[in-house]
Amino acid sequence: MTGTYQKVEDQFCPTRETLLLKVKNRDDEKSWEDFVHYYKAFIFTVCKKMNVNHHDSEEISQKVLLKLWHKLPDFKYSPGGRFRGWLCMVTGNTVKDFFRKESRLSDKAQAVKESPLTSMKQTEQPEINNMMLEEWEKHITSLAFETVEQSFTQRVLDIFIDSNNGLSADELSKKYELTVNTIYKHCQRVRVKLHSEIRRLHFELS
Amino acid sequence: MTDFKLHNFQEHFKLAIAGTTPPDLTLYNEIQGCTERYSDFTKVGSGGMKDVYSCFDHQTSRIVAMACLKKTAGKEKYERFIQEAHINAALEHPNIIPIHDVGVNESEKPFFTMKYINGCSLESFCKKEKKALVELMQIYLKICDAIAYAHSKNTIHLDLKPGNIQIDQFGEVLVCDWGLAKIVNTSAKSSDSFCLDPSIYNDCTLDGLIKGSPGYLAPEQIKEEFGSKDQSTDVFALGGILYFLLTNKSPFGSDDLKDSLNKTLDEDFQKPSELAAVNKSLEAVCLKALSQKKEMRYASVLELKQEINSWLCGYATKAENAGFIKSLWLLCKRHKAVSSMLLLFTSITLGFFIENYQTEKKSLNNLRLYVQEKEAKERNSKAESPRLVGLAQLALEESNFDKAVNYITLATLKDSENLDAWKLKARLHFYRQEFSASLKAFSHLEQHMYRRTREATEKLAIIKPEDTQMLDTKHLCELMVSTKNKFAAKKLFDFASINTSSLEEQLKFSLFYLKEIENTKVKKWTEELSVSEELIELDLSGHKKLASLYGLRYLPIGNLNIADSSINSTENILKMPLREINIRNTQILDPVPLFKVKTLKVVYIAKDQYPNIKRFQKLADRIQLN
Repeated sequence: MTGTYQKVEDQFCPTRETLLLKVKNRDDEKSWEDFVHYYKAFIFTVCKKMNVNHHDSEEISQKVLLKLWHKLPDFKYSPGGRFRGWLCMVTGNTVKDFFRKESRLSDKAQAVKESPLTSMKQTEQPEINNMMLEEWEKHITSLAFETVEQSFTQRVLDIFIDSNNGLSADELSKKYELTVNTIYKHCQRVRVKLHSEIRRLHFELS
Repeated sequence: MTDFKLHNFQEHFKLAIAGTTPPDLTLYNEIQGCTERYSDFTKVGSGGMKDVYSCFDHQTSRIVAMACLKKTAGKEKYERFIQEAHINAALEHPNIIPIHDVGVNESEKPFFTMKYINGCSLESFCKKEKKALVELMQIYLKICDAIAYAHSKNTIHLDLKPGNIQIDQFGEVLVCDWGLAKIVNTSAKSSDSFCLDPSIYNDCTLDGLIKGSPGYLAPEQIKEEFGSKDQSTDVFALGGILYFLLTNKSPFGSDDLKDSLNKTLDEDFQKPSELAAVNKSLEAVCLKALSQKKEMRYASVLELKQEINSWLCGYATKAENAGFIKSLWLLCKRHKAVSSMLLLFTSITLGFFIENYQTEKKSLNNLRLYVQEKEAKERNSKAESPRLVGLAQLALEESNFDKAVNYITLATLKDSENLDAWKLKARLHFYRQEFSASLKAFSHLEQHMYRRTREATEKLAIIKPEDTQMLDTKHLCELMVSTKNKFAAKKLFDFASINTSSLEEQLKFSLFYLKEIENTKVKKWTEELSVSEELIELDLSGHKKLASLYGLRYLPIGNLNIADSSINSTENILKMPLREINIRNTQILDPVPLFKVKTLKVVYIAKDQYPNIKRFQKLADRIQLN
């Protein structure tokens, strides 16, 4: 059975034999570190977006990571974002559990009125899903940029960032004292690298 | 991470996943739009009719060397220049400079590019510093290889000299400047079917002028009567190079050109051995190659090369006509392994007699090494010592005496010169009533340190020489008082309490500690004490100045009355197996911890002493408040 999965993965994404498969091995400390590096920030942001305060978000992130660690060895992996779906579900449920516990602890009548859980229930599930998807996109993009940064000089990166902030090629050419052609070349190089990194991370981590 | 506004970046995710990013064509565009292939020229050398520049090749993205005709050169030179490039390009050998490109530049002059060498010529290579002869001969072999290859292609160089051999910093040897090279169409079979047509490629060199570099020119290059130029002309020049390698001079060198040429024709040169201490075999090879008559030289470069190879491998060269002794000597040199076996055999026989001496010497040496190693180890672990002293200190403060002794012993072992460690060790043994051990530790300290304690210890060691025995209560009590140091008394008390099994003794020195050490301000003691079923009933009420109960902490007190005292904390009470306690009118501000004493049943408090206590009583309603 595992063999079939392997084949499908190879076909879809040749580098897939990476983190998510490696981290199933609980003794592989390095992979786990990578795993935490790649997912923790995302889980944290999702918690915050679900109205959990900073401190509790930290705690919930830890809890989610722990749950994943326990369940990953049994997780059957397939391409197409199945892992991301599962990750979002575990995160969402952990946050909900947290609010449920909160409301049980504080005085009942008051809590029911004010608890974010009630407000969350009113929020439609599709909305939460959209929020998670949007956060995922942001997260992957920022991870990708982190990697891409290491391949370029600060000057080239500055040019790219300025161009993203809406500066025109002419303005950039003046600011950096380079020809428009060179400005274009620099931006293009960063862009191509960034996009390929986004694709790689998105397919590998989803 | 660089600060950037993420919202500006989100479109990148969608674009990336949609796969609409145009491919990176930076390099392709660069080459496609390349209008100026070579740039950044720097002149690196010049020859008879050409200049050589280093420049950047944009298409291959590397530095290359470019040869251009001199500005003064007329069109009649163009053909010969291109021929040079073609002749050179046809020679593909690891020791011949490779040609990359031939073309015509913007000013419509021909040029060719070749490998750029980051090194120097053989001439300056040898002049920089003295090189080992073997190293030089290995270089020389490579030059021979290149020329032998060129000859196999019917090409003769005709301008071989140290200045035309380039050596880079990694030992690459390249024969350059094929400007005078000629195709010789001999009837001999070429090893390769491809050959340049001599009718095209030799025209321009037949102009009757002397070409080449004086000092390395062969006689036939100067006067036609010495014969035509052919492979042996290169052999002659190679002989000149060998001469240079041996003596650092050119064979026919002179400041005057004419003089130099005459010397060549007259065979007028000094033997290498007249100039320097030179290897005889190589000198013979050199002289043979430099023969004026072509037929006296080596018939081919391969033959010359073979001679050098023989020398490198330790054989006699043909040129030197070696005798028997010389050959035998070379034989020994060649078979170093066999020779040394013979030598070894002799030494073993000899060695048998001096073996004893050597064994002894060896073991002495081993011992010395062992001691050195041990010292090194100790030095490495010395750094540990202060940390261990710290740990011992902490353990002592917790009255964990065994742990403290372990740590401090380790500390003194790691660094036997750590005075802090010895001080603490001495004190520690003193508290443990191990006076002999304490004295031993004191002996590592100077006399004036802890003089008083040391004297006391000396006396005690006489009273109780056995470290395993305990002092009797009388002496212990005396000691606690005489130390006049509260910490020391406390530790003495702790150790004695932990290690006594007699309730009677414990009771004695506990009360002594309570009265004489802890609460010296209480002038008059009127306590009541009774013992029943291993539990003590103690009434200390009415002692206004009673402030601390440390002395009672090791006693099994079931019933305690400290009413009207100045006791202000439950600290020392909580571990007692208390059934009843009277804390009326004490200074205890927070009685709540008492409720955690599981055996406690009755707590006596004054009315209104603790207005809120009823609330806490809920937590332990088995306790009765009176």
